[in-house]
Amino acid sequence: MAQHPALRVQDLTVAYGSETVLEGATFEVPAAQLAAVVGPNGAGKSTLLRAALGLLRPKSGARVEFFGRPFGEVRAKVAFMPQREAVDWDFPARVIDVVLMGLYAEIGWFRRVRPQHREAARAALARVGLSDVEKRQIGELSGGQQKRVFLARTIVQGAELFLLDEPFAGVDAYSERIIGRELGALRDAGATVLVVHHDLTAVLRDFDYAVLLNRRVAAAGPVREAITAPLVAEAYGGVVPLALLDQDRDPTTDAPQPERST
Amino acid sequence: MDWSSLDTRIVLIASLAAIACVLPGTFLVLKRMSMLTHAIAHAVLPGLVIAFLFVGSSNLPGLMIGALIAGIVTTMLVQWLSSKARIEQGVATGIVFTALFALGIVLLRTFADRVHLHADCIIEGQLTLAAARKATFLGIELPRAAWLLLTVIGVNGVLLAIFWRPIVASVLDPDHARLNGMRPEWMQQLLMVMTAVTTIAAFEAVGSILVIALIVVPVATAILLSDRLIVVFGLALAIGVLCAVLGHVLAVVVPGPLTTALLGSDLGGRVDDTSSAGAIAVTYGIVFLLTALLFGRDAPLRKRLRATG
Amino acid sequence: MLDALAAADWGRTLLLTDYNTRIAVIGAGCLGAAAGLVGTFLVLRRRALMADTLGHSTLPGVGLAFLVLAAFGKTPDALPWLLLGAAATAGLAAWLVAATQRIPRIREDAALAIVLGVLFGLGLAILGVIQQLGTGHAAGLGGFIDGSVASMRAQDSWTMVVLASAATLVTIVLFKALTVASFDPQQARLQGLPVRRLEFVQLGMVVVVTVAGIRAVGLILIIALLIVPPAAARPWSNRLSRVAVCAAGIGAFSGIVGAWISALVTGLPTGPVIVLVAVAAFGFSLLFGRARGILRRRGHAPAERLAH
Repeated sequence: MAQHPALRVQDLTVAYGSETVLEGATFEVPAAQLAAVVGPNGAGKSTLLRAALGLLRPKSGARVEFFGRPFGEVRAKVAFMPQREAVDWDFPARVIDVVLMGLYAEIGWFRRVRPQHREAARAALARVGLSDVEKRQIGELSGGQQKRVFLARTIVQGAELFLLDEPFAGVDAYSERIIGRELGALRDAGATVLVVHHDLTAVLRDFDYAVLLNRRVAAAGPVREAITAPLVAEAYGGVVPLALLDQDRDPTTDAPQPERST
Repeated sequence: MDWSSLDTRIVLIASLAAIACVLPGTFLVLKRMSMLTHAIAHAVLPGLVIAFLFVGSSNLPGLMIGALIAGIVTTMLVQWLSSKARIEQGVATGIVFTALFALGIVLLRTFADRVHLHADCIIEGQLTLAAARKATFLGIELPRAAWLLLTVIGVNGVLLAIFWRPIVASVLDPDHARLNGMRPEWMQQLLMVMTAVTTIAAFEAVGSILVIALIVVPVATAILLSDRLIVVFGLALAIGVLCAVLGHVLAVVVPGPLTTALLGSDLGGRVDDTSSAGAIAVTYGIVFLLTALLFGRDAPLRKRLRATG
Repeated sequence: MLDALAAADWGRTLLLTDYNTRIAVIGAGCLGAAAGLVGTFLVLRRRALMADTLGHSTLPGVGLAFLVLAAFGKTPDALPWLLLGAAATAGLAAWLVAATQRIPRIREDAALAIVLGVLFGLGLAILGVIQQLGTGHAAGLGGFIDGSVASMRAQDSWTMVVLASAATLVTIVLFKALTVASFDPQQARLQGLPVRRLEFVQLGMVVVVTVAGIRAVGLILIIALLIVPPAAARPWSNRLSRVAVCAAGIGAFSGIVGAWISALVTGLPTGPVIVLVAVAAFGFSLLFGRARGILRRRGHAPAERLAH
């Protein structure tokens, strides 16, 4: 496994109608890195993640490999945390039920949920500081808590590559700290983490690796090499001083979402 | 009041219809597609009429297949219009079902001499597909409707037991389901077919209006009471059956005295099964309303229950 | 199509000689125009299925009005009174949908379905009682479910014309305000528009059109008259004002042609024929529409939003 990068994307192009939202994206994420996808609004950050996972249909010619294999062969090694909007928050499900859903692939369709599954789910909830709300309906939580529930569901899958779409968007400071801590812990345990992020300063401070995106991949590499003033200025339209970039905290989504593959 | 074996059979059929409807209804409501069943119940009319022309009145499987084809055409057209032609889902639903229903009525009138169906009966629920005469419904057809509903309950029950987790995951978070190899789009199609079959089987027995009440209201009521899907499901089944019984009892008991009191005439007698469908629907509404007022999220009783439990 | 029919001798004589039919056809045209216009805003606000619930909710009102009239010893088939009852319960339904949606966890689709099922069920229960009361005229109530121009008297048609014209007039007068309020309610509020009151007026006009139409089209199919013409108009233009005018035109065309055909062919029900004409127009527009028609769309950048 070591010779393969955790994620290799080659020539990934996604179009929505006649509008290309992602063009020929090509990059790698080495294993055991805390990596971020950064770029201005509409750069195609979420699209990149979703297309790599096959949730959107890319144009032909794209190649995406996870640990050197197609996604279908390594499903269990990859976990994904969607944006808040992708989830039905009114669903009659408690926090613990949602986390247990992360184990569905392991439990299967018919077998009962066993005590050890429940324990694993509880442990994941404890890691994100939500032990006291495990019986609450998911819609009753705050935005930051909701993010942490889904982080717990992602963690409990025991994957080797974690892809997270905007885990820090619209969360309170406390949740942000916990999410950051747990992502770091995953990396320290040997997993690879790729996060769509909107806060360049935080990425520079906390992350190892970065993919700078503006419809095309502008740079990909260790964070200090990928996020440099000239590269960022170019990607963000020329005039954004690096020091001010952390104020770009608009939690709205970027590009119009292309149709889902069916 | 006189309780006859007829009443027992009406209650039995209504209860079975309620059970059959809750199975796909739970997920239909959770997927925010409640109105689809209403569309299907109307849109099957041309399928019924055409099947009637081909196989005649006594061939129930043939009629069911005709209705089912129309039901599936409805869901496919709605999906096609909303995805490919970019027509909003509600508009697409409205266009497809009214177009098919209108076509059905025109066909019905055109072949009135050969097709003994009445649109009113389909809507109001005196319908047996075999014959529009009420007497037939009360006598011979009743076991057939019950048998049909039991079959649908059995098949849907087995399907739900098999696909419970993938369906749940697909409704809550389709991306997660897809990444875990659960094929949410297949689950969606499965639900659509289950809904079509159930709608048709149930409305053959109870009429199209009661079907929408049966599919939506018990689940909507149960959602107010619990945060756990399996509990919601069980509560919806219980509410569905209880209200079906209660509704028919009300249909028998209330109208006579009420009309006498209001209109001063004693002409209002026993109410037939048409009004049973109506009364059952109203009972669902009342129970939903009471539940929302007493146990809804902001209702005082619920807060007290939470505090203790 | 119109010409071919008019050329047919029997058709023209029938139309010219029979006053009732002529008024009914004109009435159906007015109704179609009003429904197309009012429906444009309904579709714009993504509330198409509201029309379905409102249509079905007129039944208990008609039944109650009938019972009240009977209790007071009046002729219980006086159309204006029955329509007043219909409007009352349709208005109640609009309020109930809004109230039900405010219950946590209950979404719009469930609210619409609950109100539709329960109120229509109530209507059926009331009809069941009426049928057993044995009063004459009860048979006429079935016409509200099905809709039929053939059994309409001239004064019924005039009622329809008046109601439809009123809805058309109000919508035209408030067109600009309704446009802004539907397109961007927040912006409209910032500009000082009474958004909630406009919404109220808009739903009120839907109720008026629904009530005007149930006698001719039937309460099940009235939704089609409100949403099919706007949907048929949409592929022709990306500008709301043109879509609205086009929807009114398609609605009027459907109403006139549908009523005409059903008057010419005995036994053909009015409502379904009007709906089928409108749906045919929709299918044609979907394929050939200049702005968004499927056959014209290739190679063009998709125009996503509707401009004012």
